[in-house]
Amino acid sequence: MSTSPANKMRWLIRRELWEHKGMLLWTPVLIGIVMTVLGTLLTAATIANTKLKTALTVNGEPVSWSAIFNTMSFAPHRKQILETVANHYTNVAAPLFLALGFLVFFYCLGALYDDRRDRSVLFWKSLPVSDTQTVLSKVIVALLVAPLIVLATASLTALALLLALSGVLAANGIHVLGELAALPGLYLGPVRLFGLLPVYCLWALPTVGWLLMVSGWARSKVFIWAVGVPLLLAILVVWIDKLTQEQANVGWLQINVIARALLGTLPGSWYIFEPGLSPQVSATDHGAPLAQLDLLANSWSSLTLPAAWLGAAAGAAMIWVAIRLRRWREEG
Amino acid sequence: MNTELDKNSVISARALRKQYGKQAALDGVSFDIAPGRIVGLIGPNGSGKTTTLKAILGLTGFEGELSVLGRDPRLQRDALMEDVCFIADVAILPGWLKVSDAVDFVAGVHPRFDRSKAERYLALTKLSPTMKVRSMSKGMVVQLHLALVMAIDAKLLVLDEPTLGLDILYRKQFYQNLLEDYFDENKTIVITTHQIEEVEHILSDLLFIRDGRIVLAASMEEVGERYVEVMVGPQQLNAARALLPLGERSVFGKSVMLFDGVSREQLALLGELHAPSLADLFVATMKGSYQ
Amino acid sequence: MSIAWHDNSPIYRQLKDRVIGMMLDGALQSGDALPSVRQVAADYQLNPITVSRAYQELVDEALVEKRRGLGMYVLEGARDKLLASERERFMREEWPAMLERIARLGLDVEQLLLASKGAGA
Repeated sequence: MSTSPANKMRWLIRRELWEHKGMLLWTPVLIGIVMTVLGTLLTAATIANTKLKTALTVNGEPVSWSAIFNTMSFAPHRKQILETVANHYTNVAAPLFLALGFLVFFYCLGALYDDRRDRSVLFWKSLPVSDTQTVLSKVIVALLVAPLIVLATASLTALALLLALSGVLAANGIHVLGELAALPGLYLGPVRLFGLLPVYCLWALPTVGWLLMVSGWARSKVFIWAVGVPLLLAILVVWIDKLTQEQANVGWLQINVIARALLGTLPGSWYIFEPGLSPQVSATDHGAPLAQLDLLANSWSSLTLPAAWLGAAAGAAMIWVAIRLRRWREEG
Repeated sequence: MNTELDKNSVISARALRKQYGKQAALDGVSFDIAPGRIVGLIGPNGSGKTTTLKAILGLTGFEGELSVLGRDPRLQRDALMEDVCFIADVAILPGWLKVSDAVDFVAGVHPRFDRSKAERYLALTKLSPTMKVRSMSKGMVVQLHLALVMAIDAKLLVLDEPTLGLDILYRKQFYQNLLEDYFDENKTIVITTHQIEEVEHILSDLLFIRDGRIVLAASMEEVGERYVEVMVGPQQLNAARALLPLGERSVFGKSVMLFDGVSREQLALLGELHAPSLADLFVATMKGSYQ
Repeated sequence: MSIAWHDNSPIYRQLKDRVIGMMLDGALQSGDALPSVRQVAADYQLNPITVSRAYQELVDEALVEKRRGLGMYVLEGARDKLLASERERFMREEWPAMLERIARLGLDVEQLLLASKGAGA
């Protein structure tokens, strides 16, 4: 039986999933199922409601929505609508991405803390697995495994909702599935989601590093330490700023240190930290602003910002500290 | 004792020191442990025995020199853990762990784990593969932990209060399994325990530790030769006390005195001789701690 | 097995005496194998070194032999040898001490024998 480092890492990751199956696997799946069910019901209810109202009255004759939708003159609009849907349907999974932010946050908070609290760390330390490997396995779960599970769930949920919508529309005489299936956007959608993963990893590193470090250090009340210290720092800085009447750039500290320490696990956090990233929306556009935004390319452009790499370096440094803490921190 | 570390010892310690704030947990601990022995590291709470074990297992830093299986636990801990196994406290397996997962994990990360052995031990218990630790009694958790440990071909096994809080059945079974299936002349075991009577006859060597120092280091054979208890009648009391006993206690109105290194012929004149129990020897040696 | 070991003689010697007792009682006959050191250590919760020492003394007294790779076996005539030495010890030490005690108590040896024969019949 090979006990190579790669094999050990595989088992370490498996161990994380055994311990956190509820948080990392079942929670996203459950959210996805609930979203699908609720979404389907909502769509069916809305369409049923709309059906009751007639769209137009032409020469005294009521015209249904489906009739309008199916006319030739409507065709270009129809094409545009379907293309927008195909390109952006994955956005409907937003609740899952929000959930990911919280899941990874709390996972990291407990990663090096829980097994010190119940003393099971002494069992893991009795096995020939280095502290570096242990901590890195948790980083991998936080930055890769958990997001991948959520991305897969999000893709499936979005697809399911789309199918549900198509089904409901079809029941009312509007058939869109065939055309949707022909649009490349439908398939590229999930691919683009997965393509955001490296950007997510980079911007989440500072938070993951900070949380793992606190997780490995705190003897109790880990949440209070992890959140309290940055907030206290923020308050302190504001107070000093007001006291000394210096024009210290408080905002800089708040964004670049405190927010990055706490909010990095939220997908899309880079838009919070770097508001300049998102392009200005021109007032004359009638189309949805989001339609103009190529989320993938835009997000990847954030990699040109030095802040991204400085933050990642800080995160890596804190992970190193977490490894040292794991090695030498003594339990009462 | 040589001031150099002994290369032939499984564990060799010289002048170990460790401070926690102002308290010296270890204050110059030196000892050697030869291979194939079962050593009892016995001392009162706060004597430094837990700190000594932690030092041996690389769980704490220290000053001084320490060599475990030829390695410094501070610098080569990861390599050391392939040859050393320990059970630190009763029932420290995490509650969410399943029996089958525990076996799979250890099999996946430990090069010296024999899976079929572990499964054989588990078959003799009431543990089923799908059981989780949180649904097991303390004794069952120890059975699982022991099954895993005994299937690992480690050269050194460190047991820190392994039977604490277990009922008598599990305790007896613990040592039975250890002696019957695990221990051989290539392995060394270090035990700390408060249940001195339980391990008295299992030990081959003794280390008494007090206030961060070793106050007695001897094989059980030497202990048997050095220490004698005498039941002294009232007429012999003064003569006996003149020989400077290590300790004196009263049993049914008679005085029982413990002597270290005094000839048996001399002592036979004062009363009935017998071998002191380890517990009595411990109390007599540790008297200072409780004053 | 919980044995109450005495505190007036080393454990290994008490263990040796146990084995001798079994040989005298016929529980262990010539050619029988002694249980392995490991088994005895586990069953009686003793250190294997203690058991080995007891076994070694039995070997030294020519009661038991070590067969390489197989274990310890009771030698031929071990029981006879034991009986002979135990009898000799009885006649030399225990019987005279017993006679002395009977005399001190003011009892008659022959009367005692008759009484015991009657009761034992």
